[in-house]
Amino acid sequence: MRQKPFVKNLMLKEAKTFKSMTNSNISKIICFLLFFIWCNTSSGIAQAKQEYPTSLGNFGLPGLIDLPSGRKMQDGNLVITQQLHSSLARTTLSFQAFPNIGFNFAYSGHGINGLEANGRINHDRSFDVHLTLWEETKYRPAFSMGLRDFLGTGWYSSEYLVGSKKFNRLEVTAGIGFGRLAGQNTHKNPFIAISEKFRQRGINSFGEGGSIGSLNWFQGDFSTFFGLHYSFNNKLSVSLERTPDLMTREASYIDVKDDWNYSLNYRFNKHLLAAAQYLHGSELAIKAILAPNPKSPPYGAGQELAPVPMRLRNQVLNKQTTTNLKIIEKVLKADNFEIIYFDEQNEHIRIGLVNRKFRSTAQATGRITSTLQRFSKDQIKTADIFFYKDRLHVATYRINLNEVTSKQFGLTDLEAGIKAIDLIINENIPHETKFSWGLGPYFEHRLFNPDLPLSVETGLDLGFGYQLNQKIKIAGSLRKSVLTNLTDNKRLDSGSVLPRVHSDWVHYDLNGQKGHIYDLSLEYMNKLAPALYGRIRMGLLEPFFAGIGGEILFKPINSALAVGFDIHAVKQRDFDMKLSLRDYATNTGHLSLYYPINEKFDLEMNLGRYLAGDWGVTTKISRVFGNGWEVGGYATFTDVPFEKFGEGSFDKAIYVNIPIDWIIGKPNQSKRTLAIRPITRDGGAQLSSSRSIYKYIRNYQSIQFKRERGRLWK
Amino acid sequence: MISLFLGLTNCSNNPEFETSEIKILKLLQGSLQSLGVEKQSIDVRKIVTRKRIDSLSVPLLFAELPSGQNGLLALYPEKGVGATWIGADGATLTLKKGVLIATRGMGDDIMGSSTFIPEWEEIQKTNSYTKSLSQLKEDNKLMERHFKCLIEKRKQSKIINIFDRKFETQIFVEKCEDSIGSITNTYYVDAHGVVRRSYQFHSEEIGYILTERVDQLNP
Repeated sequence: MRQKPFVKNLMLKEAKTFKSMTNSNISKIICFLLFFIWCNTSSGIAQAKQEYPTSLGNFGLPGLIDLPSGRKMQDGNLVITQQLHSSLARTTLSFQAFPNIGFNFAYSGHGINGLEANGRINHDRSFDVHLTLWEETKYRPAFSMGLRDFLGTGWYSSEYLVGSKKFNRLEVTAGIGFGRLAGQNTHKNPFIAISEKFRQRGINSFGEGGSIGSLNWFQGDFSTFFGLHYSFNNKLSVSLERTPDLMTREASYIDVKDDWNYSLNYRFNKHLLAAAQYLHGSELAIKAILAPNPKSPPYGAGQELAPVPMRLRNQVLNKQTTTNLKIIEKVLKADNFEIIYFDEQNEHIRIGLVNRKFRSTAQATGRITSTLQRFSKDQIKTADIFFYKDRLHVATYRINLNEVTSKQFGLTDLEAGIKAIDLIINENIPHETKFSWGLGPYFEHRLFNPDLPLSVETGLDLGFGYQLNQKIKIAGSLRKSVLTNLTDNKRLDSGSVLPRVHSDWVHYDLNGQKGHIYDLSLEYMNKLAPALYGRIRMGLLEPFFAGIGGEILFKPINSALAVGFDIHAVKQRDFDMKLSLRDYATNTGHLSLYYPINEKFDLEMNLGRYLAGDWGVTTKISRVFGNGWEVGGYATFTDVPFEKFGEGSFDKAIYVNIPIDWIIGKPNQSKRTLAIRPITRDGGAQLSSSRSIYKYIRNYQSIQFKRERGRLWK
Repeated sequence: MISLFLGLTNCSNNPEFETSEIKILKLLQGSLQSLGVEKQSIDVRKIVTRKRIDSLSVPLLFAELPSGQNGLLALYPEKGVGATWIGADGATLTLKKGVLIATRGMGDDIMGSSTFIPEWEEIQKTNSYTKSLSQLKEDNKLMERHFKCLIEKRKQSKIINIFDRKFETQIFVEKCEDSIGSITNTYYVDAHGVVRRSYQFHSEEIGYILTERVDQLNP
């Protein structure tokens, strides 16, 4: 065992000298690894229970270096990687959406001395999927299959079947690959036995990209591949692999001297990893992996102060005969609740308030409940809590104050005594602050322009509003850019053959620089009936469109399904985003269905007419975590053919919502959204502000309450 | 400078009008302002005397974490499911007959529990029973642990010193096991059935909490 540091040093030296290696050196490396296995056997057994994190490859999914492995990420894991070498810059975003299925989106800049940004020859977007068929057991390797670049231009188009097995600290991976992964030493496709279609790999006619194209998955000859991954400890590991990929697409700028790739990996903590790689016998590369796990907040369950404990009510010796409103107000104010009204009648309390602190409605309800339970008189049996958001009544929870007493520190049935109910209340809500305003910075970004892959603008945003009464307000915002490179965009003509409802965004970016009206509208919003909400608005609705319209939403609080309908008559705004309008006018509207499939997934569908006059459907699906994280994506298919739509074939995007309380460990309602929309075209374009009500009420509904029920008494 | 810039570029007269950028910048501003301000942990043992404790004539509980962080906690008035003690930092411990049943404000809190531990005076030599704890874990889900426990009353009593006052106590050692592991809690109980001192398991993250009932008031 004394040899270990010495041998580790040898390995580090070996890693540094990979550059000078040839094929003949491979046997030495394998000998070294075998030697390591042998000399670490005893410690390996001692640490057999120690779990080494899944190695992630250059495509963001489980893998060695460029090759995939049979493993999978933990459910819910989110991974961002950045890989750089002289002729490649690749950024990936991967997500383990289901326990056995992971997805990856990659954006790669290829080549040198090209005409695109940073001298690249081209920039390419690709989608991958990695399906784990089974996990490793004592005798059986973990086994996965996957598709690379199945949705895009097919630059990396390939498929694989791969298995991985651990032997203490060493993991051995072997598999077969098709497409790009069938480059050398190919063999006849075994699936020919099933169908002759597998004999020849068809040409993937990807059209405008962004679509599945013509299916050629697992077609043609295959090659075998293999590799090793060795973990010295939880921080340091090495990987090597022999890839069958001939790199023919990169032949003009990569000198492929060797089919072996090597990587030395260092894990700083459970969220951050860096690697130095030697690829193709000629390229030195670096890679960084950022892996925040939504399920694992940095500050655990949160470090907020304790709620007030509930008391035993109706005690013979200590009866409470009056409600202490002053202390109720004081305690709720300390938790940043704004009380709108409070009244007490016989055995019942009714309280209306705005929650300005807790993102979790369950936690907010628990705080209010324990406060009312403790400081209201024994005679009070029930309390109705009316939640408001921006003066809109969004939910009501009815509390049985006697039943909840034992639940605060209980184990089971913690929600007993709390019931979401549909109520309407005709209460005139005071609004002391009629004129409101806010001044702050804004940030805008555009992605995936080959000349300017990332462009950013920051400036000042002055928001203002005047509340005419509880239901009607005028609101808007003015913007002035301060620092921008959006104006460096030289691709002024989108080439779109559809009405240019969104693809002229570059003209808005350029002409809005002197300062512009971001939006300015008159809006009426109200709860019309116990489960029915309505909104009407008119004015400069958003940067590109002005008009008049509205929406209604039917959503019983305990029902999973919500149904909405929105309709707008709009006219395109001028590029300077002031008061003038362009000629293009249209009507747009959608029937929308919102449905939480289960505690983990939300589904939204919008069917109707889009801004360019096309008809179709938008489907959005998102993985929702109990702590407010949301990772989702949408796709819109309309009657606009892919070739008419242009680059990307159809409108789609992926997004991540990150709750700020997850980061800071204290209650906070803010969220940050990272949205990746590969391309902004005109087909399937919608008003971004056409549907707002569901966003208002969603967090207060019983399904969301149940998702966060663990925080009820936190 | 950054703090000044952030201060100048974000303001509003109504929280409803704060853009998410403003909210985030305010958080950042708060973080910047708190940079360099060291968190001070005061050792209560060095500043609180027996004389001071007795002069207050209120129930007081001393609690200390394995990290060394400690403090005196006061009892919430009125009877609840348990006796809830609150510290100056806003964290609470809820004890039932001296047995820890819940905590709040400590991160990975014990959200609730149930135990069938017998009354102290009923434990003659050993008794077995079950005990359950629930903790708020990843993704806001409650994780329950269900233990099988055995409590043993030690033969000899022991005199313990709590803030310069001696208490004669009986030692009870509680050993609990579940599929994840085992925990051992120790209770020092006086003649009135008051748990004068205890070492009780909180969580894997925090470890064992020391509690000492420092006042001499009747239970």
